[in-house]
Amino acid sequence: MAKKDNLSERLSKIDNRVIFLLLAICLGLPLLIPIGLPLGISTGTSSFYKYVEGLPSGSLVACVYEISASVSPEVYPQAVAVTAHLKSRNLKIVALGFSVTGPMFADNAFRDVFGASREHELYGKSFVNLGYIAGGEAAMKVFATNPRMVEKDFYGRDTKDMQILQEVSSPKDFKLMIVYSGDWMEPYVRQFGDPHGVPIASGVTSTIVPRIMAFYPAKIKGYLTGLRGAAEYELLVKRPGSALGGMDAQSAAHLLIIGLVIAGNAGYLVGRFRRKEA
Amino acid sequence: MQQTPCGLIYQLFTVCVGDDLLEIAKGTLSCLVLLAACSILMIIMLYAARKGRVPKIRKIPAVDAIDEAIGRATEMGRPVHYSTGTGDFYGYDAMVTIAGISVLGYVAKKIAQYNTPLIVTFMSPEVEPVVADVVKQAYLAAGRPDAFKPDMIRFISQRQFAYATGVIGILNREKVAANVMIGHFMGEAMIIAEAGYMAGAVQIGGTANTIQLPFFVAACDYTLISEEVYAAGAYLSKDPLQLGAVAGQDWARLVGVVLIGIGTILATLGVTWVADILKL
Amino acid sequence: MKIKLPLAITTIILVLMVADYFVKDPLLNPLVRDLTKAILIMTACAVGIGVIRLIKLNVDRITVRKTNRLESAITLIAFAAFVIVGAILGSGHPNYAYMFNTIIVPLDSTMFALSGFYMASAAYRAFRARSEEAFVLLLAGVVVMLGQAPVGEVLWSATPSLSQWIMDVPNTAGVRALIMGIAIGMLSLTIRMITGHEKGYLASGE
Repeated sequence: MAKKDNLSERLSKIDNRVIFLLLAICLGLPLLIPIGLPLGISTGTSSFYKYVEGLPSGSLVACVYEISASVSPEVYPQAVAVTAHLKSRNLKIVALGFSVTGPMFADNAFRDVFGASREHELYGKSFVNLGYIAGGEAAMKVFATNPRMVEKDFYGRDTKDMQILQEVSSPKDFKLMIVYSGDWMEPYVRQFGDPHGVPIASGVTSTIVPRIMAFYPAKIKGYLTGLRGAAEYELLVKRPGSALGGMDAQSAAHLLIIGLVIAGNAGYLVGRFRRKEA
Repeated sequence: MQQTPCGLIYQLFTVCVGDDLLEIAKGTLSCLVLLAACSILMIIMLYAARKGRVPKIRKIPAVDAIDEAIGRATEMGRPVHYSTGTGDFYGYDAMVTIAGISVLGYVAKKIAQYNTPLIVTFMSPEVEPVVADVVKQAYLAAGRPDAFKPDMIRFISQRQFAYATGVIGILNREKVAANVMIGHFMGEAMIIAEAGYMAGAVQIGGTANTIQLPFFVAACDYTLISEEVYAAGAYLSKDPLQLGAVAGQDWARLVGVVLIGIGTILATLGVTWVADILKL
Repeated sequence: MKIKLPLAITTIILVLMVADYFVKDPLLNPLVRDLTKAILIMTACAVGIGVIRLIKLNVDRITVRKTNRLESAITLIAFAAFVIVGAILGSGHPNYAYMFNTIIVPLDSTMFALSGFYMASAAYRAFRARSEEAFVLLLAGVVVMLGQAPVGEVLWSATPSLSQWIMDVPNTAGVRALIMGIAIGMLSLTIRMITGHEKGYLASGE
């Protein structure tokens, strides 16, 4: 009897260090020994992909990199997969960031997809990195009224004569605004979506998706959900990368957490039942 | 135009704004009307409270728990940690930061009365002078100006996770008994809240960032959910006028509920009047 | 005056900014645009405040308080390195990008990854079926977690659609309600501020 009581108590009070160790094993092992579970495409990713596919060739797309270093493992693979898709559709990319680190990831994405950034022959014609625009939502408001406000790009070059920017005179010239973010999306809906009717799509961390759903599909045309969204997009554009490689680890970790929750509840309910009996 | 009072007001109006009437931006008329209606409701309730009709506000358990948490810390002789989060005064997080600082004023005054150690942390440096002033004034109001120490106000870093690690260090080293986090929080919310739990502190969390609310609910003992953060200052002050404005908040919400209800029923029946009016 | 002047400034700017959103006027819109640019300049100055504060804090630790001197020295050296490289070469230079990608990115992402571990322990502790509502929450959480991982579809083919339904219907309804509530709460706080009844942040001592 005492042994069974101890078991239910132990199940409901597992030491945090044991949880951390198990989670580390569940995350690390599938990265070393991949399983290769099949992956379906979710609604948000499908909407995102179809919207980009539907854009006419040569359309201007604004890519706002709100990626901080902390969320980059989740969101950066999305940016790479989407940039590859935009390149394959001959869409023109105007990259910018309202956070300090965003343009650095834009530069990384261009290097990963185009092979180079500012040195590329198409830089300034097919893609450009406008760099960091300080000021948060106030800066978004100013940019929305004057997208040519940035006089020097991320690399310090003059933007006045850049071919790609000759087509930009108002936010309506952007056929799509893609926001890669680890934070809120509302400022973009407030400053670009509502007043100027710019369609918005987003690549975000999984924790933000519940909030994105409130604006989908009226204001936000499609969304990518964290690492899974990146993996799905990599499948769609046939460019496997780190996101697809992380799916097995994600599966194992989720199963572990569910198992722990079930174990904790089992211990709790058995304990409660025994206390009632006593 | 006749020289009636209305005519004169109209003439004055057109002189001020030009010959044409103001052009309302497309798609914002219904928002303007709703904003005006909700504001008027709140102002009416505020001034009704001034006339003596003070509304009863339901208990907010998380706010009531602040006193308990301070009492616990006092008994244990351990400090209270208060965080206003990662917000500043110029972004979308400004309002919730202000709400957090309002509650800080109350907490600091209470702590000053009990002579409990207080540690206040925040991420944005421009918040520091306001926070320092609020705490200092609270100690002054409690009659204990000598007990205020500038060391209570600790700027750690402007970087999110550097700030989080600094707070974790404080929670563990100082053996904090109560951890109150009211303000704008992002990814560090979970880390700080769980670290506070592991340090054995009683925790009260509150944020308007719906993304982080589930983490607070999971890790904190009490949570202020969305608009409770904005009502907390009024609730604690017990100022009848502020409570009136909070009641106005509920009336405004009722307007929204009625519109949603009517619009949903009509839309289900294929009538889109409400949706069309709201698109104006 | 200490209270009335900031309140007056707040109210005037509030009215102008709100009016700009709703009204198209050849006088008002450019005025607010210029005001917004002024806010941008103030924001940029705020970044400077952070830098000065950081330097002062760490120099104090090394010279006056003599605590955590090594950590403060590392902070200042790293700060100086990034500023010097960034100022001389520019933040778009490959060398600066190398420093960013090899130092900042791994450090920041490691810290954020900690939240995953903490979430596991918090979920284990918090997801207990103490009541009917808690049980429903637990069930919804399990279904959404399974829906997020490929293994969910392998275990049961309906998991993704069930998870999507939970996100589309109850979650969206709740989040929209929360967002509306927050907006109304902000409006209430604004009205309390401009009518002078919310003075907690002004440190008036009242």
